[in-house]
Amino acid sequence: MKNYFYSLFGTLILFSVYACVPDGPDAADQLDIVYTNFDSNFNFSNPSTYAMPDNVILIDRETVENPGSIPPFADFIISQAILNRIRSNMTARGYTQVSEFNEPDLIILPSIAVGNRVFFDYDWWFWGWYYPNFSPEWSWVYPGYLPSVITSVETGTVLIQMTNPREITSQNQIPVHWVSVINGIVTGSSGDNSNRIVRAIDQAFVQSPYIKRP
Amino acid sequence: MILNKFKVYILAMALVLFSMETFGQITYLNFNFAPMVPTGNTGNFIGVTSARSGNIEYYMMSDSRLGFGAEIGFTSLFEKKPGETFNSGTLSITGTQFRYHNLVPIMPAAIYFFNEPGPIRAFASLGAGVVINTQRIELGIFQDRISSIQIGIRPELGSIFQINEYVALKLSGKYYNTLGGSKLPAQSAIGVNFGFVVTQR
Repeated sequence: MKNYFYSLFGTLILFSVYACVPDGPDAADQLDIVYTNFDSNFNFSNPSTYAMPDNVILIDRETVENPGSIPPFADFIISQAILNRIRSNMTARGYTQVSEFNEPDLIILPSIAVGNRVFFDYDWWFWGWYYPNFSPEWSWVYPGYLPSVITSVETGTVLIQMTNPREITSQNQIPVHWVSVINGIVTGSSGDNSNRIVRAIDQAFVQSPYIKRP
Repeated sequence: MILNKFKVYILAMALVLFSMETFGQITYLNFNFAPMVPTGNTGNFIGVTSARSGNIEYYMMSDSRLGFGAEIGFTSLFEKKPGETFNSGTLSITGTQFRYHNLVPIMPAAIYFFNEPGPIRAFASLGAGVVINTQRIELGIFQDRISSIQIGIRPELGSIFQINEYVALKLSGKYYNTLGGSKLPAQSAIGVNFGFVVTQR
């Protein structure tokens, strides 16, 4: 009798151990995340204008292979989906888009990580073709925060940096006052991408209520 | 440091249990299936009842009504929360959160039967010891994990239904409550225990 019950207990324990494995993600969009981080000492209500390139660049490595060359651009439809959504959110928050040559208060740099890493300190040469008064000596600085809590991502991750061309430090560092990483949304078909991009970029602004003009 | 204290705690608990064998007459070994309802701060983190839960209790009776022993258990709470935002300092991350909370109570306990041995024996028990809490949030590629060993108590009310001389069934309700610490606030949960009891005389 006792042996019978011990066998029963053993079987129950085996079933219990199996049942103790909770569910995990079962669809690609369940891995979508929208990450934002910002410089808490920067007053986002002071700037009024911003500039943004007409293309989203692809970043597949930390250092540019041929300095001075133009990096590869993302697919046109995807680029426009990303740029349009950033633009509509910035307009809704009271900012005005201007040309990069009209001394904008902010410059927004969208890029897509090709590969499984996002580089926050990537080579400045990637933007040499666009950024006004570009100097190869420049580097990034994220004042008061460390964005690198995320480094390993899915390919197709969008990185958006909100930079300040007016406050380049004496060490030739460009301040990045806001950064957003949108994990793995540029995959699959363009239609599916566009919807996910719109939702994700909207969310990046929703969770950043401090980005607004008075 | 915490691990050393934990080893001392386990050793002390084992010594107490072995020392009681000299006057032990009857022993109860309980295997309990223990669905758990998170309450308080635990319920705020995960609001879903879990059936991934069980515990083992062992009691040595010092007389026909009063016994001493210990409990060790495991509960795995889980909840999927789509569209949740995790904030920490200036950082915000939104996505589908997969929240996990594992509780491992390890407690010396005392049991008191309200009546003499018979087919149905109502009892109350009280455990006091530690609960190892591990909370984890998985959000895409991001993971946040907090572990904390907390002091806790566990009152219990229930009945044992004796099937024969060696085997009984058990039904009881338990309430686990821990003291908050710097890493995690106080945790609590209500558990229902359905158990097999192996009696040795």
